[in-house]
Amino acid sequence: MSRPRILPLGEQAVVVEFGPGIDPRLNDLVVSLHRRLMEEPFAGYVESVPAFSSLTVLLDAEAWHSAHAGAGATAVEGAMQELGRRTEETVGEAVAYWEEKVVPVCYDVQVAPDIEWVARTKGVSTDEVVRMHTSTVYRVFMNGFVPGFPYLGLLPAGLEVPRKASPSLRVPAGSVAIAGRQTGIYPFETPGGWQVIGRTPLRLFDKSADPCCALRPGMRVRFEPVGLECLNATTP
Amino acid sequence: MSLLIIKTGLTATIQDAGRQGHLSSGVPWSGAMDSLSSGIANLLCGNRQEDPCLEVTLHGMELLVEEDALVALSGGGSTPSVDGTPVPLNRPLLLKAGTLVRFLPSDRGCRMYLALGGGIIARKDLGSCSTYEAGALGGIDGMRMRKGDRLHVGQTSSLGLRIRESLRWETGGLLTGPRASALRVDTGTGGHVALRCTTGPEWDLLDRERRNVFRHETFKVGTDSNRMGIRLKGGSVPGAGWDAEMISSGVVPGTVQMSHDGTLLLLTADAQTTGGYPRIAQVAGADMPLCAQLRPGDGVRFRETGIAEAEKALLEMRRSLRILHNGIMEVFGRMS
Repeated sequence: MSRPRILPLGEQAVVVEFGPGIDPRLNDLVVSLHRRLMEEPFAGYVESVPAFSSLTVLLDAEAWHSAHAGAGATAVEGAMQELGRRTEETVGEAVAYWEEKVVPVCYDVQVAPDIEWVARTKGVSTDEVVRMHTSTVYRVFMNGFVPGFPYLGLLPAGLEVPRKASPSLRVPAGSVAIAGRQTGIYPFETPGGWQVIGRTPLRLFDKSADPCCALRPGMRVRFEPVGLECLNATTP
Repeated sequence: MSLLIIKTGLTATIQDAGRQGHLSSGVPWSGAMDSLSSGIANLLCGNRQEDPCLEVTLHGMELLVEEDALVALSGGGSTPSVDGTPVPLNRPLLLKAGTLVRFLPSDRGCRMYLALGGGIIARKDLGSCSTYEAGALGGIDGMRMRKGDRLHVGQTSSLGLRIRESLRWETGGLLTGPRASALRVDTGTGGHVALRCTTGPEWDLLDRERRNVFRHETFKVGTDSNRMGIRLKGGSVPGAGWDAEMISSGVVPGTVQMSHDGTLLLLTADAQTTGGYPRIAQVAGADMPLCAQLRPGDGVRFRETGIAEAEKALLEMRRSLRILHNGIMEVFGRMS
């Protein structure tokens, strides 16, 4: 594994890059460092953003300086040093964090507008698409795009399809979709370019819940097929 | 105390200092795009600088004052007027019940901040009243202002009450207080702005030609700019041979991404929390208020600076707001 790089992103943020590519081992390190920082924040730490293989750490320069009066360095320089130490510790003992969650998904064509296209494209039946999608335990690599949207992977190679050439203008909330080697779930009705193969009644983002996001970086997710009635019964 | 929205104009949203702590869930900070102007407007009517106020983008809004209101306006993009006469910016004033405030066109800036003594009462989601439409958070029902909405005002602070008592009649029939003259966002730039920036994590991906374009070209603000980002078009960036999509990584307000066709995207308050285009530069935090005042057609150049200089400028900006706050306390805090 290559050495992590620590780079400034302006005067109020630092990026820790653990390596290139979408690699579960790198993502383990990202999640470990993120959790370590939340548990033991250093002076000036505001919050951090996990991505596939990097963690972006936001800083409050004023808070850093009041804890290091007369240090003569910038908050970014100080944070880069601090993050260097913490990154080394993390690489030494990455903590696996595996909370598992089962997500019910209805794959009925009524709520899966692209499942038949995916089946045709891959030369399999829609049942086989469902079997493949539910046969894998996925990792939540990160959240992004909109609040609560989880980037899950890796999708079985047999389901790898491109994004839509032009995004759908309205993808309903709860839509479960695939693109490349990833699968994700739309928490809100938004435009979206992924192929929709199902829908979940699970609420992915709830501002009054703590945490507000149901599927978070580091979690493991398994999809379980359910019928339409299950969707209707729990959809508000 | 309340104000009624008669016309919405282009866009207006309730914003405070933003919500922190949820970036990892994909929730951006949001908050006032121009935190300097919103801070000034709030302080001038006795509020805390981070209280919720109204961010009005460009012109067209009309507000009816339903009960006497202590207000302050700061920023640009419109000329708030009563009976066709512009009301003074950057000073506290009392708007009498029945007054109609119209945000008439202006040729400078983009966003005006209206603070109300006591702050605007809005829904607090995840620790902030800032409106974030994509997540239906904050503001009134998580949405921008609609015709018929009412802005309800909180309890005026004792400082606000003393400011209100001190107001004097001015020619033109407005009750006004002293001006915060030294401190304001310079919206009188004549449509050309130089933004200080540091180089970003993917700066090294740029070849010499593209670096030169970034350093020397004047970019034009696109009409498709909004609270998520400001689109900047250059003339001479070659589109071909540039295939620098990267694996998504964190982005923050001020991050400048370069897309395939050379268009720059300067991310702002409501930007997504991660992005897949190269982060070629980061605009200094102290220049983000200036970015908030960019309007379509304005020209932007980038000027490279060091991290130490950018940090110094940021701390200086924060300090200037504290000085204003202390000055207001000095003048009004001791009055009995």
